[in-house]
Amino acid sequence: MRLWAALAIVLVFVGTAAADEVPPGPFTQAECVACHEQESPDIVSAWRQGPHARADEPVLCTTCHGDLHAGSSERARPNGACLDCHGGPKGSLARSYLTSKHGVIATLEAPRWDWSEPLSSAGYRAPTCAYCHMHEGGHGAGTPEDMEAACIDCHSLRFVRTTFDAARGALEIGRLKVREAREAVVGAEGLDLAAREALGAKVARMEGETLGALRAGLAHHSPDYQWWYGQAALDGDLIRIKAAIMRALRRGGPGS
Amino acid sequence: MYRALRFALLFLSLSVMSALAGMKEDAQGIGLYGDLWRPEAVHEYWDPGAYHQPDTTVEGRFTPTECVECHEGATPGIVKDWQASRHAAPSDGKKPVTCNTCHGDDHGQLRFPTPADCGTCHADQHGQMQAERRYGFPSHALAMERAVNSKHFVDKPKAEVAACLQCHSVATKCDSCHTRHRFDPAEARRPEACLTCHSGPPHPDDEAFFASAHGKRYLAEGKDWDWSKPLRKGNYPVPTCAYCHLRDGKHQVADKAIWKFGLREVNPLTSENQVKRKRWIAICMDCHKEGESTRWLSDMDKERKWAWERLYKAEDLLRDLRGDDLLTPAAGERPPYPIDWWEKYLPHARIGFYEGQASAFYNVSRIERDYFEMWYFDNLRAYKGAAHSAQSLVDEGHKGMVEAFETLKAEAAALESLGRKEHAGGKAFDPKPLWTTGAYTSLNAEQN
Repeated sequence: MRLWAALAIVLVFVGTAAADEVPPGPFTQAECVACHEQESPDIVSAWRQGPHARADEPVLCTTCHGDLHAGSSERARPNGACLDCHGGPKGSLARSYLTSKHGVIATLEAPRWDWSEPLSSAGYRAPTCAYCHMHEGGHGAGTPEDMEAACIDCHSLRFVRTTFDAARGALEIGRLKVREAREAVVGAEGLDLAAREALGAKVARMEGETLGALRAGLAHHSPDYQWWYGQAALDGDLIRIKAAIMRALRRGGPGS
Repeated sequence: MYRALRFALLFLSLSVMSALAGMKEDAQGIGLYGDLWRPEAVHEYWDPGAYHQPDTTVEGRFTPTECVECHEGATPGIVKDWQASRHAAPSDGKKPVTCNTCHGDDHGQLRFPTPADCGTCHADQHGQMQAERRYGFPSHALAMERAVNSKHFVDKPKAEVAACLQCHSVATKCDSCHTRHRFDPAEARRPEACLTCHSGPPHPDDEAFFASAHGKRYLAEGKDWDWSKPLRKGNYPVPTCAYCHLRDGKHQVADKAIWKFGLREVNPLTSENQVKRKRWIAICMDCHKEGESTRWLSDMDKERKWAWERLYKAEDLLRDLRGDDLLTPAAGERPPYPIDWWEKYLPHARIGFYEGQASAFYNVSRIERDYFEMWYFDNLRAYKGAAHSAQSLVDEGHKGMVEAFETLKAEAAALESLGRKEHAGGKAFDPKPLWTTGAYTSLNAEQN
């Protein structure tokens, strides 16, 4: 009993000391940076060099963490912190993740997860946005090598590398389809300027939206985004672009 | 010359990729056309029984304790998962199922468990799933065969169609629904467990279920239900995917498949389908009256009849164009399927299910692709809506079909007028160069 009392006193003391060290806030961005340049300089410099700080409208500490110190990690770690900026819950980035097995597990189990777990050592049963893209708390741009470090918390290196190679191969196929469409437009003789511009816009959409969906599907392991929104949709785009070229040329040809 | 060099480089990089991984260099494809294609390295993870080669970087025999000790550092996620599973601590006094049980104890000879391996303990479930084959396509048990026996799977680059195997691997490994290494039946009972494959334009089962009264109630309350309960009457307030499709935990989804994925018209009243209808009605009757359940099934028959009347009209439109040689590009002006050797001499545009249009969604004219989308996307949206009592999807699907048919008619009229003028003028446009060459199309042709 006495032991428990002593332990309780120690805990209260430690708790108070920790609270003394960091006031609760609210803090401004400048205050976060000033303190964390001393406390965790790696995080600050990685953030400065990464895409969040360099965006036209920079994503600040407070954007994801809020301005109070207590619970700041727990606020930033769940997927909800990322989605508002990254296409929303119905965008292809979110949907490709949510329909993957990782996303399904997160949907089912995240309400019970302890978000104070660090983003490493498989602290969560399935990876979240931050688990891979900010693995081990990295605040820079997640490179493929960073992702590999996250994947091998659960998967063998051979599986990870084989899967990455397969994704690169599949993306290359998608790029070939876009290139075929672009070269078909460029190589079509006799198109007027308006037709050329309209077709150029179609190719740009194919590359931005459809190839983007394929890339999201490959990165997030969504079969649907790899296939129906990705490869099979690129096939459809290619057909429609070629058909539009053909229609323009046939109208402008001898029979028109 | 430059193009040839580029293809050579791409081939080289693809073959280096496979050399780095564990698959045998002489690995062959499987299925009807298996001798015509070679798998990609990644295929071993989707069909381990056919392709997996053990990793030889670590050698030696290990006890389960040693496996866990090492993998707690190497891959902590799978160790945590296994430790939280019933395999690690069976409740009924059985021996734990350890790493060795499924993978073997020789690290140089580790195997990936196949459904047959799981079936050594889970004999009922494995037996049920294998018995599902008797119902034919579509089914979980035949899903891998369905994929690799498709002509577009054989035709297209294997790096591209690796995407297909991810869902079709439901036949070749059990963790599609019971994710490794927890293998939790409670997870597989949740509707989300199905949506990785049962979502997207041709099978929006997720949207249909969540839009139904059943699904809305699940979304509102499901997180609080006890998912450890078997899929039986009285255990759940509303049915979920597995409640109906894997009734009583019976691992068969095809035993009630009347409309066969909605891809072809069927007679829903054959003697076989009468048996299946009784099975459906019995499930609905867990909560609803027999008369209601029977009527809902008939409503679905009516919806299907409506859809097929329109689909056949659209197919007639395409067949007329084909008959009048107005499809542009025509069959001989586009890349043939390499496995249909007679195509070179007798080119033929495929229209409808029975001619194999399910594989003809690329290298075809725009109007054929438009019909493919009407058939695969709009029609199936309505079908999935009707099957899951989601009227909003039925309405959206039907509206899409009506609009698609109008587009087809306009396109057909344009093809006709252009084609007739060109025929009269004696100088037809040659679509062949546009449709048979290009970065992707040429690579595909060279690979085959």
